[in-house]
Amino acid sequence: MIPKIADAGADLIEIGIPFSDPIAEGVVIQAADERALRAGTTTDKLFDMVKRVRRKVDVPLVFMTYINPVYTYGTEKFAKKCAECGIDGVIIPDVPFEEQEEVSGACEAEGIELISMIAPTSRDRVNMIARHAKGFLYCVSSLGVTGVRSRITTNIKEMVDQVKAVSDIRNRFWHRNARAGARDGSSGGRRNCGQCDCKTDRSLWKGLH
Amino acid sequence: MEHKKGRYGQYGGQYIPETLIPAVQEVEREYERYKNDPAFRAELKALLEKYAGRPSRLYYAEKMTRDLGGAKIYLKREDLNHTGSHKINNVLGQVLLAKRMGKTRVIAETGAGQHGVATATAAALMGLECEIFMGKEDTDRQVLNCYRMELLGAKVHPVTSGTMTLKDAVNETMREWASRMDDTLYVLGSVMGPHPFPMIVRDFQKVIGEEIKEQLMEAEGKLPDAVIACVGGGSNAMGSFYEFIPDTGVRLIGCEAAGLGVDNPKNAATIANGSVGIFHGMKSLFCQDEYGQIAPVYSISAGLDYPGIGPEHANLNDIGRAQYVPVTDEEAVEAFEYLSRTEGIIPAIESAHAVAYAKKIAPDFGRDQIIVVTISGRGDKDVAAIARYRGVEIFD
Repeated sequence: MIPKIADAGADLIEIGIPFSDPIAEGVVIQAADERALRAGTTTDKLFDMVKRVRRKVDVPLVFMTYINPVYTYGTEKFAKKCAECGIDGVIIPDVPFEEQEEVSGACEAEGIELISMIAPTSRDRVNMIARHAKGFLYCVSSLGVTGVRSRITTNIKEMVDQVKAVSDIRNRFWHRNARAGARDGSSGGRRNCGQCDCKTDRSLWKGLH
Repeated sequence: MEHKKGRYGQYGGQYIPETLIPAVQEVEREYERYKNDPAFRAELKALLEKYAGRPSRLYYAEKMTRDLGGAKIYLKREDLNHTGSHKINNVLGQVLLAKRMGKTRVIAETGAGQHGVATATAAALMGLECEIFMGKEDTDRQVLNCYRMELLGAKVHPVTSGTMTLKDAVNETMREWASRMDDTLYVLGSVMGPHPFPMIVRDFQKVIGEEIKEQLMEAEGKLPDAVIACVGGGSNAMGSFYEFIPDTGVRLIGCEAAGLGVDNPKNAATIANGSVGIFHGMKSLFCQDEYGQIAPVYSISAGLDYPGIGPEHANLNDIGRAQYVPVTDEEAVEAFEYLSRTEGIIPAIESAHAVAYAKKIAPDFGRDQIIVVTISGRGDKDVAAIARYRGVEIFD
């Protein structure tokens, strides 16, 4: 399924590590978490799956999970495994800006981007969060939990403009070229995107060109 | 990075989604503003005395003392408070704070229903809208408390996600708060969750220990040798212990719910069986599996049926200042019946866990020694469940 999503044009694919108590999720993802756990999904099994899939897709892959599965696995061990199997970043909604130290060291050591989030309530926190953000910035569009709603009342343009005013995060987007990694035998096959003049190996993410 | 606040040793913190951070920061700010405000203090004091009935009695349980043949047993009667438990202490403080903050609506989780009833009561008194989230399993176990909350004008939402008990009620209340915080305060019921809640709830509950000290000084002229309380999240225990933390000669003992036994998967003994994790906004000890999935815990007591413990307790355990012991369903039920017959006091099944441990250790104490047991609530709500446990079918 993941290669199909990539072929269909996804710029980035988020893979959930299920958690027993996903407090930021609405009923649909709660039920998905429950189903996955009941079917025997574990963090290790997901690492194995991602390792297999990574050979076939070159879009950025990020894990979305909660802090307890990461902390309990061992933060360093978790980040190392992510790097080994070709994960580019992690989204952990219950790690806000003030608690990022819990995981940021381990993530940095392995080159895994810890994705920051801003919410409609962030207001004067946006500058601080956006300035330190890595990978991309996850803008939460609505109050409450994930799920369908009939309308979104947040002024998203205003939110995005506020971010753009303080952060060049757009120019720090990255993408991974898995084929390059496969060719040279390394698992971390990051390279220049070849589509722009970016100089770092954290090159522009092709979806933005 | 901001200086780390709300830490108890390695435990505590503020692990919640960004959406909620401004809300907890607002609570923190407003609490700091009002906690020493003379008008706020005076209003809260008046409510505690005239409405809740404080100070609660420190009762010398003479028959129990004679029967056990060891330490003198005193019971701290939180069961005599208005609404029947210690929960009212915290709730009056937090709902008053909500009002000062200009909030018009409070939401809360509840396990046995004690915190829900207390919150609904304070909301009725102070004219705030109130919604309570309660696991479906618990709304079935505590039908009377549900109706009680409705009588008080609250809306009760049975929670059908996860294990349908207290932890799921907390999840659902957090979800609700994240969707509506402008006019709403989450009145957390225990010394848990993200900072500043463990601190706020402890501050509002520490009156229990302060009174114990003063009342015992008056009655006996000395400090107790041990203070015993039951621990779920740990609010009545923290309230009982806090004043005595510097008095290192006073043993502090928390009684956890061991359900069918600590070796049986059906238990809720977090200190005995848990490991360090991060959940419900805090780093603390949790019952969980090797992958950090929170364990479905069990206890006959809905109020202790929680897979975690407050971060300050986890730290008191680490540094050896307090000791935490498991008490099984069977021991708690026996103590429930024992206190009813011996002293004519029907304790909450939660508090019966503390009575059970006091019964166990009192004979090893000298007759000149004193044990204080906090009776956190009254047992009316548990009568039908205890009858069922003993094979008698009555309907509540």
